Amino acid sequence: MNRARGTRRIGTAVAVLVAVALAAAVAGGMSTPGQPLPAQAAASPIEIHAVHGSSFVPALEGKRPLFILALGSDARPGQPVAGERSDSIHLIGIDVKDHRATVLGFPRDSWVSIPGHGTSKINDAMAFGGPPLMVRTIEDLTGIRIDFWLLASFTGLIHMVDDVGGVTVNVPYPMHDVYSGANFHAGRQHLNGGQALALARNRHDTPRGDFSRSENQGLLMKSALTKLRRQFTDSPVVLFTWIVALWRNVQTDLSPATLLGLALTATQIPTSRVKNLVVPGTTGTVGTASVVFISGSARSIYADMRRDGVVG
Amino acid sequence: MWGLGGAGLAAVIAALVLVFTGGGGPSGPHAPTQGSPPRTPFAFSSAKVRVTGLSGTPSAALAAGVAEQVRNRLSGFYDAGFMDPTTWAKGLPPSIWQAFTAEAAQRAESDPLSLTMGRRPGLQRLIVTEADLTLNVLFDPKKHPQAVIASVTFAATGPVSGGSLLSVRNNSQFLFEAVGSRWLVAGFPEASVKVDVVPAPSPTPVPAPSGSAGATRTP
Repeated sequence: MNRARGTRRIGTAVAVLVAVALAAAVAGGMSTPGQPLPAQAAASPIEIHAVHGSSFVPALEGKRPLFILALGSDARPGQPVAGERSDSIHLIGIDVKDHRATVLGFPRDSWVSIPGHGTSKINDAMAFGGPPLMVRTIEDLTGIRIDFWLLASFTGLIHMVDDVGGVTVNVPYPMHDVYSGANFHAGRQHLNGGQALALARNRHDTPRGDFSRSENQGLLMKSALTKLRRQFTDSPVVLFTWIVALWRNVQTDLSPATLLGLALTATQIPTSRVKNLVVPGTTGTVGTASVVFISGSARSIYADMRRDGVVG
Repeated sequence: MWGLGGAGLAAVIAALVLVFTGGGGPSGPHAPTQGSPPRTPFAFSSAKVRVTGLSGTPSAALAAGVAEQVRNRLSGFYDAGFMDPTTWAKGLPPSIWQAFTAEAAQRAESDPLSLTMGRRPGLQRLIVTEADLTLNVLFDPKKHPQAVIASVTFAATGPVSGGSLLSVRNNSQFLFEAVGSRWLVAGFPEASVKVDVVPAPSPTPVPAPSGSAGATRTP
C-alpha cells in the first residue's frame, strides 16, 4: 500500500506538473522564472487541483463504557473449550465516547472468591461454570458489569492470527522457553499463529512469570489492533476478514451485528490510547498450591476503570 | 490525495478528444434543451460482487438482490452528486442525503465536497471516463445480509465555459447497513474528490511536409 500511495503521489506530482505546464503554455505562454504571468492568465479564475477527503466510521456510542471479557482456554484437543480452565483472562474496557481503552489482565493463579464455589484460583471459575461463571467472578471482584465475553482455544488463537496474516509484535525481551516454544529475540518481528500462541503462553522465560505472561497477552491484542487499523485504513473491506476470523475461531455471546459495531469501533481507537495493565499482586501459597494474592491497590484500578472504561 | 497516473491522463486525453470532437454526447430523450447543459443520466452499469459468510454459503440470489439495491442507491447518488446539471448550477439537492443514515448524512453534509462535485457553474458537459463499483456483502450465520462495503472509482471530464477543461476523480468506500427494508450508507471510511480545472490544450501543430516550409496543418 505504501508503494501504491507512493505511486499515487508520483502520479499527482506528474499531473500537477502537466497541469501547471498546460496552464502556463496555453493561458500565458511559457514564462521564464521570476517573470510575472500575463495579466490575463493571472486573473483567470482557474482552479487547479482542489482535493477534498474525509472519512466517517459509525462507531458504537453511549454514555457508559463497554466491557468485554476475553478468555483463553487451556483445553487440549478433544477437551471442551468452555469446560476447562482459562489461563488467559483480560477485561477490556472501552471508552466509546473518547475512543480509548484499557486491557486489564488477571494472573490465572489469582486467589479469589468464585460465586457458589468458595475461594479458589480464578482460572477454576471457567471449569466450574463456563464463561458465564467467569463473568460473574470478575464482576464480583471488580464491581464492573461485563457486557460480552469471548473465548478462544489454543488452536482458535493460532487460526485467528493466521487468518489475518499474522501480527507484528515488538517483543519486549528475548524469550527462549522450551515449554511454550517461545523463541524470540527482542524487538519488532512478524509472528504467525503458532508463534503468537507461544508468546502468549510463555511464563517461564519472563521477568515476572505469570504477570509478564498476562502483560504479553495484552501486548498481542494491541499488536492486532495496530494491524487492524492499518489494514482498515488501506482497505476498509478487510474488516470482514477480521470479523470472519474472529467469528470462526472464538466462542462468544456477541451477536454478529454487535461484533460488526465493535470491529468498527476498534478501528477508531489508536493503539497509543490503549493501556495494557496487569492486576497488581504478590505470589504465595495456599496449602501446596502456588497462588497470586491480588493487592489492595487493585481496588482503585477497578474503580477507575468502572467510571469510564479506562485506567488513568 | 488521488493523482492522475498514466492511465488517468490517457483517459482524460481520450475524453478530451471525445468532448472536443463532439463524440460521447447525450442522445435520445435526455438530449439537452437549447441553452441548458446536457443531461446525461448516470448509473453504474454493473458491479463486481464478493460475498463473505460467517458460516455456510450464503444465497447468491439474496446477495444479488442486496447488490442491486446498493448499486441503484449509489447510481442515484452519483447521478445527483456529479452528473446532474441542476446540481452544477444550483448546488446539491437536500434529497441526495436520503441515501445515508441520519448520522452519516449529518457528517456528509458537513463535508459534501469529499463525496460529490457540488456546484460547478459554467460546466457545459460531463463525460464519465471511469465508473467501477465493487461490492462486498457480509452475511451472518443465519445467512442474512449484515453489511455491504462498496468501493467506488469514478472519473469524468468535460468542458467549462471559457475554454477550460474540468476533470474530476472520486475514490470512495461506503459502508451500507440495512435500515428497515432499505440499504443506506452508514459510513464512508474513505471519501475523496479531486477536481482539476485547467485550460484546454490547443491543437498540436503537425510538422509541415518537406518542401512546404512554413506551412502548418491542424488535425
